Parts: sequence; C-alpha cells; structure tokens
Amino acid sequence: VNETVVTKDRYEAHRLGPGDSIEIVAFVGGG
Amino acid sequence: MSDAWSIGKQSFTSRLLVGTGKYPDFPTMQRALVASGAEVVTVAVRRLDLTKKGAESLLEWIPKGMRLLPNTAACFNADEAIRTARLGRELEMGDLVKLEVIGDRRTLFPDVEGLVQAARVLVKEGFTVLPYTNDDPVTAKKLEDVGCAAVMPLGAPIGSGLGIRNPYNIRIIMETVKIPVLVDAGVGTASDAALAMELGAVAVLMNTAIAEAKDPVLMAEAMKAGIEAGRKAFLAGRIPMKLHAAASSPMTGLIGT
Repeated sequence: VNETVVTKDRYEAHRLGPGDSIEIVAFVGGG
Repeated sequence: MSDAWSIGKQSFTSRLLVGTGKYPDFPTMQRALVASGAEVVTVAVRRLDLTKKGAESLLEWIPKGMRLLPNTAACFNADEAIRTARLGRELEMGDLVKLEVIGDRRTLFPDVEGLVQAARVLVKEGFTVLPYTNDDPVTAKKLEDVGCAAVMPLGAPIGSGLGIRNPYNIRIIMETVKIPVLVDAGVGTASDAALAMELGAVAVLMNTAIAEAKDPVLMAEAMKAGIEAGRKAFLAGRIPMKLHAAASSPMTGLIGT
C-alpha cells in the first residue's frame, strides 16, 4: 500500500484510507 | 560419492539452477524444468494484472519439490530491489533472494554500488542474498563482506549467449572469496556450462539458453550433462597445457629402427 509492504501479520490491523494506492503482486516467469 | 553443495542452510545436489522466463508455453517450460534436473528455479515478482481474468498461474506449472528463488530483475536502484525482495518474502517463499540491481538498460550490467547497498540492507533483514554481479573480484569481496551467502558473477550479458567471456576473472573471484561462486547469465550452450564448472564454479544459473533453444527440453538435458561433465572434470583435475607435443605411444621399440 502506497509503496510500503503490508506484511501478513498486519493485514487485520491495517486500514485503507481515501486515495491509498494498492499493488497486488504475484510471481511470473523470470531468470 | 556425495557431491552436495549448500547456500546458507539449504543443501542441493543439482548444480544447475534454471529460470522460468521466455518459454514458448508453460507445458514446454515444465518439461524442460524436469529434464534439467534442477532443484532451484528463479521467478520474478510483478504487479498482478487484474484485467487478465483466467490467466494461468506460473506456479501451477513448476514441478513439485522445486525451490523457488525470487529475483529482483529489472530493479534499477537499491530501493526498488529491496522493496521487491520484501514483496517476494511476503509471498511466503522464504528468505532466499536473487538480488539484481541493474545499472544499464542496454547491457543489463549491474549497478554494483546499488547492489552492495541493497545487499547490506537485506542481509540485516535476515535474507539469504545471492547477488548477480559483474565478473569483478573487488565487488565480489565487498558483497562477501556485507554478508551475502554467495556471489553470482555474470559469464556474459544476460540473454546474450556469449559464454564465459572472462574466465580469468571468474577464477580470481574464486580465489578472492570464501563463499560459493555461481556463474549467472551469458551461457549459450552446454560447453559454456561445462567450462564454468571446470573453472570451479559451484553451480550455474541460466534461463535464455534453455528457454529460447529450438528444443528447450533437449537443451535442458544437454545443460544437465554439461554441468555434470564440467564438475567431474574439475574434480578430476585437468592436465597442464603444454606448448609442444607429448607422445602418448612409447618412443622405444619402433618398427623399422
């Protein structure tokens, strides 16, 4: 969120606010 | 004879590490990964495209039991690489990371200043850092000094297939550091992989040479054989090079003398 990693143990506590930018990532092919 | 090697707490028997990019399709990639005998496969971390509904997941095609090695490919400064490494760890892939900080888009040569900077931070955060670096012994020593678990000098630019362009520097790196040295990038064919192993590399990491071969599965088999042949030759010890001939047959009792 906003270029800061929200770790799994903070999912419950973290609250999104107006204007927050969210990135969801996944693994893709790479070398 | 057991010929296992290790990085940090991880122990491996295969000395071939392979990438998962550039394959024509997932089934071919899966067959090539199996044929390579590799135990470690690299993957990249990217934003999920939510518009691509129903897209296949890479992970479903990676054979079970293979260890994933997230990379920080296409990161052009230390901050990007650090963030990408942290994201990879949050995907529950452990603390192993192939660290790349790229300094030039055309050659994809590393930015070694940013690389050392990122390595220092990630080591402190508990990562097992495997940095992709130049074939430069001075940088290799700096990476060892900040706590990297191995160094991975390039044989040649990523995806170039030029082979081991500076075998002398690779040898000097091996003399300079005590941590494992893996040759990463530049391999074009099986003899390149064999040469890297003959030089004394503990392992070789490659992607394009297999993925973009006409027959990726057959090339994966060739690379596996090349790695094994090179390793055996290294252990066996090659003969010294001589300028002149040394006859193999006796020079006594010659017919006609």
